[in-house]
Amino acid sequence: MSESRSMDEHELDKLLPWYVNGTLEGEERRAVEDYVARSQHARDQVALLSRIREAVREEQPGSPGAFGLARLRAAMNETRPSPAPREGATRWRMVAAAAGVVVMVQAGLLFNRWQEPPAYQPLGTGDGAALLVSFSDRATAADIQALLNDIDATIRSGPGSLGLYRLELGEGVDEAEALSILRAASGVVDEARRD
Amino acid sequence: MSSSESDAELLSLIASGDQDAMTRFYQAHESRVYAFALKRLNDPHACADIVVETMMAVWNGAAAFKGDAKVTTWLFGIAHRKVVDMHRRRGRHDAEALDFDVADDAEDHVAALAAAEDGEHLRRCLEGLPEAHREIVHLAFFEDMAYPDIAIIVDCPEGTVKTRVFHAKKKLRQCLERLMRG
Repeated sequence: MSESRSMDEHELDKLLPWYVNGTLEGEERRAVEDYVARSQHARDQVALLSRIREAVREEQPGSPGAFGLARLRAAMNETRPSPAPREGATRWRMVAAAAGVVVMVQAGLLFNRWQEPPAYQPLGTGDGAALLVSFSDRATAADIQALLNDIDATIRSGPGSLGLYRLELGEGVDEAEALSILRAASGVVDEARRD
Repeated sequence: MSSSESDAELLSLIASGDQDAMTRFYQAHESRVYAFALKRLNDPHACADIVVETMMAVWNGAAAFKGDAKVTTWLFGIAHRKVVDMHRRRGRHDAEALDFDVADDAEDHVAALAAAEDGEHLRRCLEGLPEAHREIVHLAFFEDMAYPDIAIIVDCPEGTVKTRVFHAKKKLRQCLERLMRG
């Protein structure tokens, strides 16, 4: 009980988590080792803290992986451009940039598929109108997902050789209005037009 | 790339603009930064953004790293500030944390330990902790960090770090005892 423990022991109680994770050093470590050796209360707390640590370390939260790396690379290229390109390198860089966007959007779609039911569906024969869209290289997976939800659209195919995705609009969605919304999303969409 | 020396070497290369070094640094640490952010944001997309923003800060700030702290302490400190910034952008205040010092109350460690053997019980109780407590418990037990390093990361006194984990343990114990009683 707390009433029977001195303030010193209360201070030692507060060091127990770091005794359990193995990071205590020197005098603090020796003091806690003595405390654990003589106190059942301390040993009970160590047992509980060890079980908590075990549970925390069992967690496997995942990560953004390739999606995050593609976004990082795009952002790095934007903020710290390499020195002046060699002659003939410009075309290569444009192709590489386009490929980077494709990898990023594809990785983003994979990330979404991992996290939640996606707006991306297998190719099929939908009845809705179709639009062609290219997404900004700064758009996040969440941005694209939110935008597609806003206009009730799904990605039916893409990206094509120009980086365009074909969207299919939900039944009854006004094509002109959807186009207007896509074009207004300047940070997410670079280009949007009728198929 | 888990040793501090390797991280420091990578940072040196990153500071000179080496994108491959940045890629290796990202691959070594992205899942840890993501897991850390998830403790406070509980939003996979927002946490993915935090990872990229944190890594961009590393890319832009590697040259400013002086080696006063471990690389991982510096990295998690950046991630912590990014999470705080995101909360501000979303109009949220940091979750309240009980930082005043109190002694533990009457304890039933036997019941708490018995309940803790059920992983599901323990996970439920961990998820019920306030954000600031989840964050520090994560750094203490997932990352196995020393309390002085955690104090640097969350930018608060060392005594506050110790008190927060003490409160977190107390809350977990109370939660487990409640679950044990049904």
